[in-house]
Amino acid sequence: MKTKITIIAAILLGILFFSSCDKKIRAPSDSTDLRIEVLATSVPVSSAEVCGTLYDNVLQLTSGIPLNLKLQFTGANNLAQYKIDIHSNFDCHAHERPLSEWRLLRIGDLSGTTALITETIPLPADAFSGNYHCIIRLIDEQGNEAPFKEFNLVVRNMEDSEAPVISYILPASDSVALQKSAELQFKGTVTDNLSLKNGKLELTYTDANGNDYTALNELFTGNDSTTHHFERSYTIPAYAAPGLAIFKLNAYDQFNNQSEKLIKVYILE
Amino acid sequence: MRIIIALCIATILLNHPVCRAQNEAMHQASKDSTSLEAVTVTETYLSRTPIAQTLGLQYIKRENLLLHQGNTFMNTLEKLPGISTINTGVGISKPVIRGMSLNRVIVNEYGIKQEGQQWGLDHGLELDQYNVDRVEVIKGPVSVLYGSDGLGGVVNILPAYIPGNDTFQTELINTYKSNNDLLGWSGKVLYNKNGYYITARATYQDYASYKVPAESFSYNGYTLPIYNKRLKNTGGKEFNFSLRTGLRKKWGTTSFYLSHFQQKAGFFVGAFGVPRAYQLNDNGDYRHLGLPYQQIGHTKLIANTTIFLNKARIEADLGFQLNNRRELSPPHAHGYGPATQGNEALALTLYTLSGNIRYVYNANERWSSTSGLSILQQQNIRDGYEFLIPSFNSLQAGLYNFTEYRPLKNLLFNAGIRMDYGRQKAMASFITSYDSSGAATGQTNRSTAIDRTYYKVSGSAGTAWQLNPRQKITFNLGSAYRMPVMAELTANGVHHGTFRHEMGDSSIKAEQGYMADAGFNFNTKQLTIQFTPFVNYFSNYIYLSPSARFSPLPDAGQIYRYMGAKALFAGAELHTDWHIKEGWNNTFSAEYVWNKNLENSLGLPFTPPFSILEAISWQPRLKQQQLFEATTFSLSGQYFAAQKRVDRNEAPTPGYFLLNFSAANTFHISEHRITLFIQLRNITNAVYMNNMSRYRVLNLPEQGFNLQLMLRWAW
Repeated sequence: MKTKITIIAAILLGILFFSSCDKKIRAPSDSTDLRIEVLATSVPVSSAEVCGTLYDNVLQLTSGIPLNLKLQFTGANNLAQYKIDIHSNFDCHAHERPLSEWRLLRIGDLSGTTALITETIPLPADAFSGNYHCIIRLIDEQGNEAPFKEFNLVVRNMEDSEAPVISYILPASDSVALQKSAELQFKGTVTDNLSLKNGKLELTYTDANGNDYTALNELFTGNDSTTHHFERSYTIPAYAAPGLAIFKLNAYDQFNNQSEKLIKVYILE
Repeated sequence: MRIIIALCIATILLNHPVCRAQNEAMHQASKDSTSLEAVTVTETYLSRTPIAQTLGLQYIKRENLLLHQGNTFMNTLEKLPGISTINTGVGISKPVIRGMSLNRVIVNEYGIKQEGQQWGLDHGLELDQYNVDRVEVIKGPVSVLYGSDGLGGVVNILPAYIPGNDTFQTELINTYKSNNDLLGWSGKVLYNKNGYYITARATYQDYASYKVPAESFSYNGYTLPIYNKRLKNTGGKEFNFSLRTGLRKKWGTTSFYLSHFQQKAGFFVGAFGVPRAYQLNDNGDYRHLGLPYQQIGHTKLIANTTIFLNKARIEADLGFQLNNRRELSPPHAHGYGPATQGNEALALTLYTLSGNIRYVYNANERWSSTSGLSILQQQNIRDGYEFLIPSFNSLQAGLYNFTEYRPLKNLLFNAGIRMDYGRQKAMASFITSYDSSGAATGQTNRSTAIDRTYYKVSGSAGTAWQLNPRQKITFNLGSAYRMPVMAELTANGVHHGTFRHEMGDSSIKAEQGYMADAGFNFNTKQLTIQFTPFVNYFSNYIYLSPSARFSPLPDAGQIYRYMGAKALFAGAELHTDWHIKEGWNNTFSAEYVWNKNLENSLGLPFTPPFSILEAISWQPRLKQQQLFEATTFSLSGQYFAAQKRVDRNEAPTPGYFLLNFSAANTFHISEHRITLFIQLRNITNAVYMNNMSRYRVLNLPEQGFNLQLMLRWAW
């Protein structure tokens, strides 16, 4: 029995021996030294809160003024292509269909092991206000991919950067209690300094279990009015979790400037 | 080097005086030692698959499947040497045999090949693991019997044995898994009278997001939070049912099997695109399944008939399958793509009609042969806002003969030849583009029309030689042939599940190669050693290769193209079961797969790392049989080496060690048998990444400590 125990111990020691090996792993990019360096940006890189999180890669932009990027690409092998992809992040990347037409997708061919590129990215004057992502990618001729670079773009529309104002008379306060299947009334106005055309009013909520729901979506269509009256009701569904639900009223104007009102609703069984 | 060290350990075992002194009754050629971790069940199991005589065969019974149950059926099998899985979270896994996966591994349930878009990395196996009673795994090329996709091997799920006449049995299983708060119930009834039987099972599982032993992970230079150590949105639900009925008579048997698998499995919210901190906020409801998720329905109707003739039998398996795959996510194409489908990114509906007929003839003790015809017809219908593969039709047919010859009692030769025909047809596909207002702006051609026909003859030959009662060697040589699947020909779009632009090649050639397998078996009453090396050479191996072109689609990186390359696979498994003394067993196994893409000298993607497993089990015989039956304790340690042989853009993965414990006992109370299974998995709560995980690319750690309790009540 003693010798058997010795053998089992030897096997276990063998496993420990293997376990102690191979702790140092090379990063995949080491072999290609493929990298993207952003040498200069036309506006300074700053820190700002995006979707409730502080980022240190934010570029504050104004519509109508192009964004200039000076980029250096290097690799051990010949470079193949770079790609710049700008798209909206209005909804904090739930990736719903965006309102804005501003988006950019640029793919450029490269050669040699080093490339210095200056990109001028036009930012249309009518681009919507809001958050955007800008992702820069690079691959070499063998298909190796560099770690990408990313900026959070915070765009302010040059013509209108003022958010609309929501005022409501129903619910009567910002904290109400309701039974399930009861109706929650919303009545009020949205006013804007310039135009609500193509804007919208959204009502979403998060119930006590953390589930997110969209309750209402009212589009401001047709004219350049600066005032929109709303009067809607929403029936608290039977499946909503009892407890505190946070309702959010969001209004967007013609350039996507937005404002938000929070209403606490205690859902009762 | 590692193989050499593993062999040294085996040599120590072989040379040990205790081992040398063994002079026990010889094992028969068909005797298979099978184990999962430490619980060894040695029994005489004769596979009905003739090629199993010369390839690596493993057979596992229900008790062991339950005792070592993993998150999925394939996770349970992955403890077997040579078997591994590609995982997406905890609810989705697909089989890998000796580094071969996707359409290179066949899973047969009751003789019918599972067809569920298995080309996709995140497309799991649609099976109710509670419904598996017996399973055999054959490692190595089985194409000659099973058709084009059997290069790597086959997992054969075998029907449960039906007990004697006039039986009524009931079974209820309750499962709890602490790591993801899984609650599962599975119930079965069986009624059998005068040769007719009916058995039915229903299973429901609900699990929350799983826990990892980390509070953050790093991605592309960012450190991102894992709130409450739970990977957000990785829960799921599963509902399955099955019904099997049939009769057994002197002339033969016939049975019908209907099953349905329904799963809704969440994906980690950061798995599509770039994970961002604000998406990962914990909402406290770990069972809530938000976007993205996949919803799978798989319905099967199978009829099996065997007719006994003089010296022969006819076997017929007919099957119909409907695979309904829905992958949902908010449109990530930022308005570029169509969105009239709402959140339905990829919707594939696959109809499969299968038929296999075999004539098995046993001429005498020396000669036997199996001749067969197999037909498989498919229709695929696509939908969803992401185009990946088109709607298509395909037909495969194969005609084969496999003959066994035993010139001596201890010597066997076998050889098989197969003729395959295949036809694939698809229309050119156009996808409508929409602007931000939802208006159609035009159509884009995403795949060309396909009309391809294949003819191919392939074969295999093998031998098994029982040198003496203790030692047996086997050798098998086969030609490998696999028709490309539609994804490899036509894919062109962002695959929601892998989040990369995958592109097929309509001119790609079929996969071809040669595969050699050997087996060295040493059996005594106290010791079983199996060593099974293999070498596979592919003159054309199809894989997804990162290209030097970016996707023109928004929010997508480079294009991954299906292409063929010369490739070499080699490796071995070593498995030993050592009966130390009454009730005590020790299992040691090691496995290694080495491969090389001969075009670029890199490894191929998703290659399992070298691993060794050491397990000790104790099955005491206790006096109070009523209270203590089939009592088992097992402690195992498994070491996975670092995987540095990786493909381009595939990150190396550090090694790790996992410690597991399992125990079981059956209590008899009147006519009731209550079995308690306990498992402690990842006891040390090790932080590790698995290079076979879809989430490896995000640097996400794997599941932490897990206590699993299962109570089976049978009467």
